[in-house]
Amino acid sequence: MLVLASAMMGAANIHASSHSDAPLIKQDPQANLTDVYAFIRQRPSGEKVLVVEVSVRPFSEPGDGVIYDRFADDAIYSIHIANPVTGASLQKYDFRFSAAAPTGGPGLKNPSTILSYGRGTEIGPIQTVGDARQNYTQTYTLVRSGAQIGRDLKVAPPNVGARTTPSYNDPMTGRAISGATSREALDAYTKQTVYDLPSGISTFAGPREDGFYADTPAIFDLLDARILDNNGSLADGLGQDGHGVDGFKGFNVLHYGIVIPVSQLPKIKYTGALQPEGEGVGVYASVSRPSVTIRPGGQAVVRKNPFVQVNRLANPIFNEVLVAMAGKDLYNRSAPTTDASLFAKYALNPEVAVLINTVFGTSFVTTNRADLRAVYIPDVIRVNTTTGPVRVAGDEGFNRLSFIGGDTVADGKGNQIPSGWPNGRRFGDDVVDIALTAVASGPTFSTITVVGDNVSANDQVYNRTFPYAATPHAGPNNSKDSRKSAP
Amino acid sequence: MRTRDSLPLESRVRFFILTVCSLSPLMSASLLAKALLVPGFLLIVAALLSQGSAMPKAEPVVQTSLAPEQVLERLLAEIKVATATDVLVLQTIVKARSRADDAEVWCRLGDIIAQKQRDTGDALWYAHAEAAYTLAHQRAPQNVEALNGLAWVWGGLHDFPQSVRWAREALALDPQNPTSHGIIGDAALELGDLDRAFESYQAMMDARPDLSSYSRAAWLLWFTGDSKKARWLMGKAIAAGGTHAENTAWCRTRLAHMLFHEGALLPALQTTGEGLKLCPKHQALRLMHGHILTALHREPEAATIFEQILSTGEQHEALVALGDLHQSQGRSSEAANCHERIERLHERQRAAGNHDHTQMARYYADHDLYPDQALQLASEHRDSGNGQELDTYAWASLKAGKLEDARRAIRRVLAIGTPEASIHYHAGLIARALGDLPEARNQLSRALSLNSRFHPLHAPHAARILTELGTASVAATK
Repeated sequence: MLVLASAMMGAANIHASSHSDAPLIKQDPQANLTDVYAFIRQRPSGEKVLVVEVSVRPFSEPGDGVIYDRFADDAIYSIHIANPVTGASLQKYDFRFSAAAPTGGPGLKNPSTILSYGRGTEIGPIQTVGDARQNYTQTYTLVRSGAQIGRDLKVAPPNVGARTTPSYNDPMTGRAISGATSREALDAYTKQTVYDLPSGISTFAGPREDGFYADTPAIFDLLDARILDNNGSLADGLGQDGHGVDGFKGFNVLHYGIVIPVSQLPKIKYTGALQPEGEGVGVYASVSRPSVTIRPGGQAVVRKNPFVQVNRLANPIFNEVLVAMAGKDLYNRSAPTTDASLFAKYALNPEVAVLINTVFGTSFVTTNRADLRAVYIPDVIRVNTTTGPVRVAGDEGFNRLSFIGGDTVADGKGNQIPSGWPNGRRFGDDVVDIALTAVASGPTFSTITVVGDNVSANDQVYNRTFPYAATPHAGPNNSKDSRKSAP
Repeated sequence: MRTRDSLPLESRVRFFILTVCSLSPLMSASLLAKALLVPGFLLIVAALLSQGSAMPKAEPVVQTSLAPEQVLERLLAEIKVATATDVLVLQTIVKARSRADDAEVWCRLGDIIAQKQRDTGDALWYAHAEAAYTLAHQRAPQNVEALNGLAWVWGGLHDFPQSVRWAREALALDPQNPTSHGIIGDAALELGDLDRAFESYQAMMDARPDLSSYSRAAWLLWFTGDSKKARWLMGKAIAAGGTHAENTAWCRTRLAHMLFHEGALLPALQTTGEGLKLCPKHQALRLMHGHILTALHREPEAATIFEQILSTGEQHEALVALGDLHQSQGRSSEAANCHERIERLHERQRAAGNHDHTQMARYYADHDLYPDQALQLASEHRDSGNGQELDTYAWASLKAGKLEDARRAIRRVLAIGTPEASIHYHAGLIARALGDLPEARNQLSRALSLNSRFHPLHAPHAARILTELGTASVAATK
């Protein structure tokens, strides 16, 4: 069977692609990007760094044994440092992963057992990543703009549960512990899989808790907040009546990230949304797959280069909420440099404003939204690299609404600019509320009208050190479950 | 999905109107007594709705034996002509003197006195209002306004059975009377009967969709966790407008409260700022404005606002806010001065028989003072259905070392779903005291996620504890 992942349209620089928010990418979960985070922090040494973390593989079920989710070995997971004005990729960090289905070592110690974790050449809880009790170990290579800067880097194991991966979990409740404030405070598996490379880059890859939170079911149900018992039935299974429901609660993702010294980044002048002219970079992520995959019956799969981009992601909710169906798959196939010609219309004329006006009888501006265009076109996350380290979730003064909550940071010229999105994006930034509020309040923002989704917190505590994404949920006991204690 | 057994939130109504009820310890019953006005009837029960500062049942002066002239003389003795309301009181007194048998005039006087109560937040006006309404009722036992007036008085004094009794009498005569439904709903909310509150307020809104009913709906929605719709509906209340500038000022106070507790500090400041342009002396609005300025680290401006409020008379919330502000800035002697003034204020209130036990319990617990006394004060409401009373009881129980009581109470509070950071802060510290560190992290993280500047002292404390718990991850995994 011949599976073509190649371009269907004619343009030379358009590749076949799919996206988490588009029909095609829904068919390819391991390549389905969900979120990109980018923000300025500093190392204990005082060195200022850009943290970029990317989530992929939405709705990864923590208890999805016996195999558990693995990065695709036939995909290139990339982080792009781009021109914040044009969207052109300037530096590219590629993560290539080892075999997802090995039949022997070094990826699989014991092919004669059914278990991936808990039994390799020994039986018992995993103490160190890749030890004798961890049967399957995935590794990766990190390449920066064509030059290898890291190899045989281990991927953190999934959180199988308190008996197999005890370091992730609270011994009393069996639930994942998170919220580390330093490298030393991280659980053992995460600590062991954060690598400080000679190039000055730090890197991590592995399962993490899905840090996005939003009542997406209600949002897309014609923006309806969950009204109380709207059909007279007390037996609704729609969740907590009257409250928002975090549609991502209790799920994990696969996650990869890097920490780059700001000194290694280009410095490009740009004017970001709601900011004076500044200096920094743009960030986006992509996933690529071989252009041709052949599945001959009874034989190994064959994949042929070149790789083509199948997914792209930068700012939150652009493709999900602004780009129409006609453009969603096209977005994933294209580069940010084409956004101005292909997708600006969606930012300038946001349909979501029309929907809010219809449902709630408001009068939000629906056309000529230059303010939204400034955020999304080209679709890269713009990060001002002249600021100091921004606050992160859990820090005093951090506000999930970023500048709407008065959470600002001084840039290199002393101007107060948003600490969070749209200046970078931090874990915990309530991007749904920020984006909907921007839709409702722009283009002038003379009066800020807060529009949100009744979900104002993640279901797990983020770390305050790299990787900032929270510890992955445990398979047997996580926030989707009602019971609190381990059996 | 909540079941009826777990949380009585289900209702058949489409929208739920809620009384203007403050859940915040930052707001007192007296401030909440700046009720929304129904056109022609000033008795929207703001005072009833102040959950956080529920007054104990004070015995009102029973005026039924007083002659009309005695009622008027006592009232005149209290009036110092300083405001437009005072002038209205005097004008109505003149009318009452010449038409002492006219029930409508006595109702009108009661209404104006009610406005005076809302203007000042002083509970002493309830007795005068009761006297006026009683005289109206005596002259016209089937006068619905008089019945509702009496219901309002008793609700303001937190004698809810009495309040409901009078309101039901009014409903028996006028089954669609929106004010009666509102008062019954207010009482239900205070008592934690949310189903009844929903039903009553829906009836009120069905009968009269206006600022009064919208604002109640909005507050109910916020109280039970639907902040998105709550904000929208409170915006409709403001847009609907009221008879007096104070009506929309009150709604703006509530909207700013919602925005503040979601961390939306800039829109909150815009909301109070707009309100103060129209109603610059509105005490609750000024207090809210001061809280927001404190959160935005504009401390000198905040202090000025609190001092301005206090220049017209000692007031619990403003004293607490100013004291906390001083303490957060390291001004210990100024903070101590505020504490002394608070103690003196409450002594006077105790002597006058109108002391707010919950308010003082909360103050003591917030400041690690007299834990046994705080618990004793809060324990009056250990079985309350009222969210803020329960939260205060949970908090005081923690400070007094009664951890299981604290845990049980805070669970009930959390089940209601009010999006207030302080609730999660309390829950986090209770969990920590019980050794449930993951839950402690979760709750403290939620508190800071809602509004990381929810209190000048407690927010930094929450952040410090969360940081400590983050380093505790190492020990937990070894």
